[in-house]
Amino acid sequence: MIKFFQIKLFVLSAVLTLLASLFDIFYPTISLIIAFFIYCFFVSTDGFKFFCVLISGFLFDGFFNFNFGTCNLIFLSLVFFDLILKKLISIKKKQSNYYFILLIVLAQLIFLLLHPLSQNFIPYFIINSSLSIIYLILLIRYAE
Amino acid sequence: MFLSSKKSKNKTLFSKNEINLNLLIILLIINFSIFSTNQDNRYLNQIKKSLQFGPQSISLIFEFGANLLNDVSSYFIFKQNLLSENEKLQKENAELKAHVMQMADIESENRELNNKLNIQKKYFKDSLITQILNLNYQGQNHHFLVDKGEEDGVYIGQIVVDKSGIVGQVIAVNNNSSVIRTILSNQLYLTGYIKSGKNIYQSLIQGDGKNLTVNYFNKTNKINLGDEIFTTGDNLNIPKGLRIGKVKKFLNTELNDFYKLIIEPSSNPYKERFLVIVK
Repeated sequence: MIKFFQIKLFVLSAVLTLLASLFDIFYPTISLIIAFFIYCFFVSTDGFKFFCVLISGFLFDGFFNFNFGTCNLIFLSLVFFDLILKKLISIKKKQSNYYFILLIVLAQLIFLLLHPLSQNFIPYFIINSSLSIIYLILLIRYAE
Repeated sequence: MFLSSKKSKNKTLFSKNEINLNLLIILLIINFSIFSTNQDNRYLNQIKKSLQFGPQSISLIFEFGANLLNDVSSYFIFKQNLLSENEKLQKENAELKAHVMQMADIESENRELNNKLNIQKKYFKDSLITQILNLNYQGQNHHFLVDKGEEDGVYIGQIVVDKSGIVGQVIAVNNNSSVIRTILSNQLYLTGYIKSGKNIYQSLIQGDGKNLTVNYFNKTNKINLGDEIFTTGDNLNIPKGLRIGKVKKFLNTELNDFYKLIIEPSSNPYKERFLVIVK
Protein backbone atom coordinates (compact mmCIF):
# COMPACT_ATOMS: atom_id res chain seq x y z
CA MET A 1 0.00 0.00 0.00
CA ILE A 2 1.29 3.39 -0.97
CA LYS A 3 2.09 5.63 1.89
CA PHE A 4 0.58 9.08 1.39
CA PHE A 5 3.38 10.56 3.42
CA GLN A 6 5.87 9.67 0.72
CA ILE A 7 3.62 11.16 -1.99
CA LYS A 8 3.18 14.37 -0.03
CA LEU A 9 6.91 14.69 0.38
CA PHE A 10 7.44 14.08 -3.31
CA VAL A 11 4.83 16.71 -4.24
CA LEU A 12 6.43 19.19 -1.83
CA SER A 13 9.87 18.52 -3.31
CA ALA A 14 8.56 18.86 -6.86
CA VAL A 15 6.73 22.13 -6.16
CA LEU A 16 9.74 23.59 -4.36
CA THR A 17 11.96 22.53 -7.25
CA LEU A 18 9.53 24.17 -9.64
CA LEU A 19 9.65 27.37 -7.62
CA ALA A 20 13.43 27.27 -7.48
CA SER A 21 13.66 26.65 -11.21
CA LEU A 22 11.77 29.90 -11.86
CA PHE A 23 14.94 31.67 -10.74
CA ASP A 24 17.75 30.74 -13.08
CA ILE A 25 20.48 30.30 -10.48
CA PHE A 26 22.64 27.31 -11.28
CA TYR A 27 19.63 25.12 -12.09
CA PRO A 28 18.98 23.69 -8.61
CA THR A 29 16.52 21.19 -10.03
CA ILE A 30 18.13 17.95 -8.87
CA SER A 31 19.13 19.00 -5.33
CA LEU A 32 15.77 18.62 -3.62
CA ILE A 33 14.91 15.27 -5.17
CA ILE A 34 18.29 13.89 -4.05
CA ALA A 35 17.48 14.96 -0.49
CA PHE A 36 14.05 13.37 -0.90
CA PHE A 37 15.63 10.06 -2.02
CA ILE A 38 18.07 10.03 0.85
CA TYR A 39 15.36 10.88 3.33
CA CYS A 40 13.07 8.13 2.03
CA PHE A 41 15.64 5.38 1.81
CA PHE A 42 18.11 6.17 4.58
CA VAL A 43 16.27 8.22 7.20
CA SER A 44 12.58 7.37 7.15
CA THR A 45 12.57 3.62 6.70
CA ASP A 46 9.10 3.05 8.18
CA GLY A 47 6.73 1.90 5.48
CA PHE A 48 9.26 2.58 2.75
CA LYS A 49 8.15 1.58 -0.75
CA PHE A 50 11.03 1.05 -3.14
CA PHE A 51 8.93 1.17 -6.29
CA CYS A 52 7.12 4.22 -5.10
CA VAL A 53 10.47 6.05 -5.03
CA LEU A 54 11.28 4.72 -8.50
CA ILE A 55 7.96 6.06 -9.81
CA SER A 56 8.71 9.41 -8.12
CA GLY A 57 12.04 9.51 -9.97
CA PHE A 58 10.33 8.71 -13.23
CA LEU A 59 7.73 11.45 -12.68
CA PHE A 60 10.41 13.93 -11.67
CA ASP A 61 12.34 13.22 -14.86
CA GLY A 62 9.17 13.87 -16.84
CA PHE A 63 8.26 17.02 -14.94
CA PHE A 64 11.58 18.70 -15.42
CA ASN A 65 12.46 17.37 -18.84
CA PHE A 66 15.40 15.20 -17.84
CA ASN A 67 16.13 12.02 -19.76
CA PHE A 68 13.97 9.28 -18.30
CA GLY A 69 16.11 7.32 -15.89
CA THR A 70 18.32 10.16 -14.65
CA CYS A 71 16.87 10.44 -11.14
CA ASN A 72 16.43 6.71 -10.74
CA LEU A 73 20.00 6.08 -11.84
CA ILE A 74 21.18 8.42 -9.10
CA PHE A 75 18.90 6.82 -6.57
CA LEU A 76 19.83 3.26 -7.54
CA SER A 77 23.52 4.19 -7.50
CA LEU A 78 23.16 5.45 -3.95
CA VAL A 79 21.35 2.28 -2.92
CA PHE A 80 23.97 0.18 -4.68
CA PHE A 81 26.75 2.14 -2.98
CA ASP A 82 25.09 1.60 0.40
CA LEU A 83 24.57 -2.09 -0.27
CA ILE A 84 28.13 -2.65 -1.37
CA LEU A 85 29.49 -0.81 1.65
CA LYS A 86 27.22 -2.84 3.89
CA LYS A 87 28.48 -6.08 2.37
CA LEU A 88 32.14 -5.18 2.29
CA ILE A 89 32.63 -3.25 5.51
CA SER A 90 31.21 -4.21 8.85
CA ILE A 91 30.88 -1.03 10.89
CA LYS A 92 28.80 -1.04 14.01
CA LYS A 93 28.80 2.71 14.12
CA LYS A 94 25.44 4.45 14.45
CA GLN A 95 23.86 6.68 11.81
CA SER A 96 26.10 9.65 11.05
CA ASN A 97 25.59 12.98 9.37
CA TYR A 98 28.80 12.62 7.40
CA TYR A 99 27.40 9.58 5.69
CA PHE A 100 24.43 11.62 4.44
CA ILE A 101 26.74 14.37 3.25
CA LEU A 102 28.84 11.75 1.50
CA LEU A 103 25.71 10.41 -0.18
CA ILE A 104 24.65 13.89 -1.30
CA VAL A 105 28.09 14.64 -2.69
CA LEU A 106 28.12 11.29 -4.46
CA ALA A 107 24.66 11.94 -5.92
CA GLN A 108 25.73 15.38 -7.17
CA LEU A 109 28.84 13.85 -8.73
CA ILE A 110 26.77 11.18 -10.47
CA PHE A 111 24.43 13.86 -11.77
CA LEU A 112 27.37 15.87 -13.06
CA LEU A 113 28.68 12.70 -14.67
CA LEU A 114 25.37 12.20 -16.43
CA HIS A 115 25.02 15.90 -17.35
CA PRO A 116 28.54 17.27 -17.72
CA LEU A 117 28.83 21.04 -17.34
CA SER A 118 31.19 23.11 -19.44
CA GLN A 119 31.41 25.96 -16.93
CA ASN A 120 30.54 26.94 -13.35
CA PHE A 121 31.26 23.42 -12.22
CA ILE A 122 32.45 24.28 -8.70
CA PRO A 123 29.75 26.89 -7.88
CA TYR A 124 27.11 24.53 -9.23
CA PHE A 125 28.44 21.68 -7.14
CA ILE A 126 28.71 23.76 -3.94
CA ILE A 127 25.33 25.44 -4.26
CA ASN A 128 23.46 22.28 -5.15
CA SER A 129 25.12 20.23 -2.45
CA SER A 130 24.32 22.94 0.10
CA LEU A 131 20.72 23.04 -1.06
CA SER A 132 20.43 19.28 -0.74
CA ILE A 133 21.92 19.33 2.76
CA ILE A 134 19.62 22.16 3.87
CA TYR A 135 16.56 20.42 2.45
CA LEU A 136 17.56 17.14 4.06
CA ILE A 137 17.95 18.89 7.44
CA LEU A 138 14.49 20.37 7.04
CA LEU A 139 13.03 17.01 6.09
CA ILE A 140 14.65 15.26 9.05
CA ARG A 141 13.48 17.97 11.45
CA TYR A 142 9.99 18.65 10.20
CA ALA A 143 8.83 16.05 7.69
CA GLU A 144 7.44 13.57 10.17
CA MET B 1 23.93 16.47 15.46
CA PHE B 2 22.15 18.73 13.04
CA LEU B 3 21.24 16.09 10.46
CA SER B 4 20.04 13.44 12.89
CA SER B 5 16.58 13.22 14.32
CA LYS B 6 16.09 11.90 17.85
CA LYS B 7 14.87 8.60 16.48
CA SER B 8 18.00 8.11 14.40
CA LYS B 9 20.24 7.76 17.46
CA ASN B 10 19.58 4.04 17.50
CA LYS B 11 19.88 3.53 13.76
CA THR B 12 22.84 1.94 12.09
CA LEU B 13 25.07 3.77 9.65
CA PHE B 14 23.80 1.94 6.58
CA SER B 15 20.20 1.61 5.48
CA LYS B 16 18.17 -1.16 7.07
CA ASN B 17 16.16 -1.71 3.89
CA GLU B 18 16.86 -5.07 2.49
CA ILE B 19 17.20 -4.86 -1.25
CA ASN B 20 17.98 -7.81 -3.40
CA LEU B 21 21.32 -7.15 -5.06
CA ASN B 22 20.33 -8.94 -8.25
CA LEU B 23 17.15 -6.94 -8.54
CA LEU B 24 19.09 -3.78 -7.91
CA ILE B 25 21.60 -4.60 -10.62
CA ILE B 26 18.81 -5.43 -13.05
CA LEU B 27 17.06 -2.19 -12.23
CA LEU B 28 20.30 -0.28 -12.67
CA ILE B 29 20.90 -1.86 -16.06
CA ILE B 30 17.32 -1.19 -17.18
CA ASN B 31 17.53 2.39 -15.99
CA PHE B 32 20.84 2.95 -17.63
CA SER B 33 19.60 1.53 -20.90
CA ILE B 34 16.48 3.75 -20.71
CA PHE B 35 18.71 6.72 -19.95
CA SER B 36 21.10 5.92 -22.79
CA THR B 37 18.47 5.32 -25.48
CA ASN B 38 17.42 8.06 -27.82
CA GLN B 39 14.42 9.57 -26.09
CA ASP B 40 13.30 11.71 -28.98
CA ASN B 41 10.68 9.23 -30.06
CA ARG B 42 6.98 9.98 -30.24
CA TYR B 43 5.85 7.87 -27.28
CA LEU B 44 8.35 9.15 -24.76
CA ASN B 45 7.80 12.71 -25.95
CA GLN B 46 4.08 12.29 -25.46
CA ILE B 47 4.62 10.96 -21.95
CA LYS B 48 6.97 13.86 -21.20
CA LYS B 49 4.52 16.39 -22.56
CA SER B 50 1.66 15.03 -20.51
CA LEU B 51 3.87 14.91 -17.41
CA GLN B 52 5.05 18.48 -17.98
CA PHE B 53 1.50 19.72 -18.18
CA GLY B 54 1.23 19.78 -14.37
CA PRO B 55 4.41 21.77 -13.64
CA GLN B 56 3.82 23.99 -16.62
CA SER B 57 0.39 25.01 -15.38
CA ILE B 58 1.80 25.64 -11.89
CA SER B 59 4.69 27.63 -13.33
CA LEU B 60 2.21 29.55 -15.49
CA ILE B 61 0.31 30.52 -12.36
CA PHE B 62 3.55 31.61 -10.70
CA GLU B 63 4.64 33.48 -13.81
CA PHE B 64 1.25 35.13 -14.04
CA GLY B 65 1.58 36.26 -10.42
CA ALA B 66 5.12 37.44 -11.04
CA ASN B 67 4.06 39.27 -14.21
CA LEU B 68 1.14 40.84 -12.39
CA LEU B 69 3.44 42.05 -9.64
CA ASN B 70 5.88 43.25 -12.24
CA ASP B 71 3.17 45.10 -14.14
CA VAL B 72 1.81 46.72 -11.01
CA SER B 73 5.26 47.81 -9.89
CA SER B 74 6.17 49.04 -13.38
CA TYR B 75 2.88 50.97 -13.49
CA PHE B 76 3.79 52.74 -10.28
CA ILE B 77 7.35 53.33 -11.46
CA PHE B 78 6.01 54.64 -14.78
CA LYS B 79 3.57 56.92 -12.96
CA GLN B 80 6.34 58.15 -10.70
CA ASN B 81 8.56 58.77 -13.72
CA LEU B 82 5.76 60.59 -15.50
CA LEU B 83 5.12 62.77 -12.49
CA SER B 84 8.78 63.65 -12.06
CA GLU B 85 9.13 64.26 -15.80
CA ASN B 86 6.03 66.43 -15.73
CA GLU B 87 7.43 68.41 -12.83
CA LYS B 88 10.71 68.79 -14.68
CA LEU B 89 8.94 69.92 -17.84
CA GLN B 90 6.82 72.40 -15.93
CA LYS B 91 9.94 73.83 -14.39
CA GLU B 92 11.58 74.01 -17.78
CA ASN B 93 8.46 75.60 -19.23
CA ALA B 94 8.43 78.25 -16.51
CA GLU B 95 12.09 78.95 -17.17
CA LEU B 96 11.47 79.21 -20.89
CA LYS B 97 8.49 81.51 -20.33
CA ALA B 98 10.63 83.74 -18.17
CA HIS B 99 13.29 83.66 -20.87
CA VAL B 100 10.75 84.53 -23.57
CA MET B 101 9.42 87.38 -21.46
CA GLN B 102 12.93 88.60 -20.95
CA MET B 103 13.55 88.35 -24.68
CA ALA B 104 10.32 90.24 -25.38
CA ASP B 105 11.41 92.89 -22.94
CA ILE B 106 14.81 93.13 -24.60
CA GLU B 107 13.11 93.31 -28.00
CA SER B 108 10.81 96.15 -26.97
CA GLU B 109 13.73 97.91 -25.31
CA ASN B 110 15.70 97.49 -28.50
CA ARG B 111 12.81 98.84 -30.56
CA GLU B 112 12.50 101.85 -28.27
CA LEU B 113 16.22 102.52 -28.38
CA ASN B 114 16.18 102.31 -32.16
CA ASN B 115 13.33 104.77 -32.17
CA LYS B 116 15.25 107.17 -29.99
CA LEU B 117 18.36 106.74 -32.11
CA ASN B 118 16.28 107.65 -35.14
CA ILE B 119 15.03 110.79 -33.39
CA GLN B 120 18.57 111.62 -32.40
CA LYS B 121 19.88 111.02 -35.89
CA LYS B 122 17.06 112.86 -37.63
CA TYR B 123 16.50 115.91 -35.47
CA PHE B 124 19.04 116.35 -32.68
CA LYS B 125 22.56 115.33 -33.57
CA ASP B 126 24.02 116.65 -30.32
CA SER B 127 21.75 114.84 -27.93
CA LEU B 128 21.80 112.03 -25.42
CA ILE B 129 19.62 109.00 -25.06
CA THR B 130 18.76 108.40 -21.46
CA GLN B 131 16.85 105.78 -19.54
CA ILE B 132 14.18 106.61 -16.98
CA LEU B 133 15.28 105.20 -13.62
CA ASN B 134 12.57 106.39 -11.35
CA LEU B 135 9.13 107.89 -11.92
CA ASN B 136 7.72 110.42 -9.42
CA TYR B 137 11.22 110.96 -8.10
CA GLN B 138 11.39 111.71 -4.35
CA GLY B 139 7.60 111.60 -4.14
CA GLN B 140 7.09 114.54 -6.49
CA ASN B 141 4.52 114.08 -9.23
CA HIS B 142 5.80 114.58 -12.77
CA HIS B 143 9.45 114.33 -11.80
CA PHE B 144 11.71 111.61 -13.26
CA LEU B 145 15.20 110.46 -12.45
CA VAL B 146 17.23 109.55 -15.55
CA ASP B 147 20.58 107.77 -15.87
CA LYS B 148 22.62 110.56 -17.46
CA GLY B 149 24.25 113.28 -15.40
CA GLU B 150 26.96 115.86 -15.23
CA GLU B 151 29.60 113.40 -16.37
CA ASP B 152 27.66 112.88 -19.59
CA GLY B 153 27.46 116.61 -20.17
CA VAL B 154 23.90 117.14 -18.95
CA TYR B 155 23.12 120.55 -17.45
CA ILE B 156 20.10 122.24 -15.93
CA GLY B 157 17.57 123.67 -18.35
CA GLN B 158 18.01 121.13 -21.13
CA ILE B 159 14.86 119.95 -22.84
CA VAL B 160 13.84 116.29 -22.93
CA VAL B 161 11.81 114.90 -25.82
CA ASP B 162 10.31 111.64 -27.01
CA LYS B 163 9.09 110.67 -30.47
CA SER B 164 5.88 112.74 -30.11
CA GLY B 165 7.25 115.94 -28.75
CA ILE B 166 8.52 117.73 -25.68
CA VAL B 167 8.48 115.76 -22.43
CA GLY B 168 10.05 118.05 -19.88
CA GLN B 169 13.13 119.88 -18.70
CA VAL B 170 16.21 119.01 -16.66
CA ILE B 171 15.92 120.75 -13.30
CA ALA B 172 18.71 119.12 -11.30
CA VAL B 173 21.93 117.34 -12.23
CA ASN B 174 23.96 114.81 -10.25
CA ASN B 175 27.17 113.11 -11.33
CA ASN B 176 25.48 110.21 -13.05
CA SER B 177 21.80 111.12 -12.99
CA SER B 178 19.49 114.04 -13.53
CA VAL B 179 16.02 115.05 -12.43
CA ILE B 180 13.50 115.92 -15.11
CA ARG B 181 10.31 117.90 -14.54
CA THR B 182 7.64 117.00 -17.08
CA ILE B 183 5.48 119.51 -18.91
CA LEU B 184 2.45 118.30 -16.96
CA SER B 185 3.91 119.75 -13.77
CA ASN B 186 2.29 123.05 -12.79
CA GLN B 187 5.76 124.39 -11.99
CA LEU B 188 6.89 124.30 -15.61
CA TYR B 189 6.03 127.15 -17.97
CA LEU B 190 6.58 127.05 -21.69
CA THR B 191 6.10 129.65 -24.36
CA GLY B 192 4.52 128.22 -27.45
CA TYR B 193 2.50 129.20 -30.47
CA ILE B 194 -0.81 127.83 -31.62
CA LYS B 195 -0.84 127.29 -35.33
CA SER B 196 -4.35 127.63 -36.72
CA GLY B 197 -4.22 127.56 -40.49
CA LYS B 198 -1.96 130.44 -41.48
CA ASN B 199 -2.40 132.25 -38.16
CA ILE B 200 -0.01 131.92 -35.30
CA TYR B 201 -0.87 132.93 -31.72
CA GLN B 202 1.74 132.99 -28.99
CA SER B 203 0.79 132.00 -25.47
CA LEU B 204 2.14 130.84 -22.11
CA ILE B 205 1.49 127.21 -21.37
CA GLN B 206 1.41 125.56 -17.96
CA GLY B 207 0.73 122.05 -16.74
CA ASP B 208 -2.18 121.25 -14.44
CA GLY B 209 -1.31 117.67 -13.55
CA LYS B 210 -3.37 116.02 -16.25
CA ASN B 211 -3.19 118.34 -19.21
CA LEU B 212 -1.61 121.59 -20.28
CA THR B 213 -3.48 124.84 -20.04
CA VAL B 214 -3.40 128.30 -21.51
CA ASN B 215 -5.15 130.26 -18.80
CA TYR B 216 -6.14 133.35 -20.77
CA PHE B 217 -6.56 133.21 -24.51
CA ASN B 218 -8.21 136.09 -26.33
CA LYS B 219 -11.52 135.12 -27.85
CA THR B 220 -10.87 137.28 -30.88
CA ASN B 221 -8.11 134.91 -31.97
CA LYS B 222 -9.72 132.37 -34.21
CA ILE B 223 -8.52 128.89 -33.37
CA ASN B 224 -10.09 125.47 -33.69
CA LEU B 225 -10.13 122.31 -31.67
CA GLY B 226 -7.25 120.09 -32.73
CA ASP B 227 -4.95 122.99 -33.63
CA GLU B 228 -1.37 122.13 -32.80
CA ILE B 229 0.98 123.99 -30.45
CA PHE B 230 4.75 124.23 -30.88
CA THR B 231 7.60 125.70 -28.84
CA THR B 232 8.69 129.21 -29.83
CA GLY B 233 12.30 128.52 -28.95
CA ASP B 234 12.74 131.82 -27.28
CA ASN B 235 15.69 130.90 -25.11
CA LEU B 236 18.96 129.00 -25.52
CA ASN B 237 17.81 125.66 -24.19
CA ILE B 238 14.46 125.23 -25.90
CA PRO B 239 14.68 124.70 -29.63
CA LYS B 240 12.04 126.16 -31.88
CA GLY B 241 9.18 124.10 -33.33
CA LEU B 242 8.98 121.21 -30.87
CA ARG B 243 5.46 119.83 -30.74
CA ILE B 244 3.78 120.46 -27.39
CA GLY B 245 0.23 119.22 -27.97
CA LYS B 246 -3.09 120.12 -29.51
CA VAL B 247 -6.14 122.12 -28.43
CA LYS B 248 -8.63 119.88 -26.73
CA LYS B 249 -11.20 122.16 -25.13
CA PHE B 250 -12.22 125.81 -24.70
CA LEU B 251 -13.40 126.80 -21.26
CA ASN B 252 -14.97 130.14 -20.25
CA THR B 253 -13.18 132.18 -17.62
CA GLU B 254 -14.27 134.89 -15.19
CA LEU B 255 -13.11 137.35 -17.87
CA ASN B 256 -15.63 137.43 -20.72
CA ASP B 257 -13.04 138.14 -23.41
CA PHE B 258 -10.84 135.17 -22.62
CA TYR B 259 -11.00 131.43 -22.95
CA LYS B 260 -9.09 128.93 -20.91
CA LEU B 261 -7.59 126.40 -23.35
CA ILE B 262 -7.09 122.81 -22.39
CA ILE B 263 -4.27 121.31 -24.40
CA GLU B 264 -3.66 117.60 -24.74
CA PRO B 265 0.10 116.94 -24.58
CA SER B 266 1.61 115.08 -27.54
CA SER B 267 4.07 113.11 -25.45
CA ASN B 268 3.37 110.59 -22.78
CA PRO B 269 6.55 109.93 -20.80
CA TYR B 270 4.79 107.30 -18.71
CA LYS B 271 4.74 105.03 -21.75
CA GLU B 272 8.44 105.44 -22.46
CA ARG B 273 11.57 103.90 -21.02
CA PHE B 274 14.05 106.00 -22.95
CA LEU B 275 14.06 109.72 -23.64
CA VAL B 276 16.27 112.08 -25.60
CA ILE B 277 18.01 114.98 -23.84
CA VAL B 278 18.43 117.75 -26.39
CA LYS B 279 21.68 119.70 -26.29
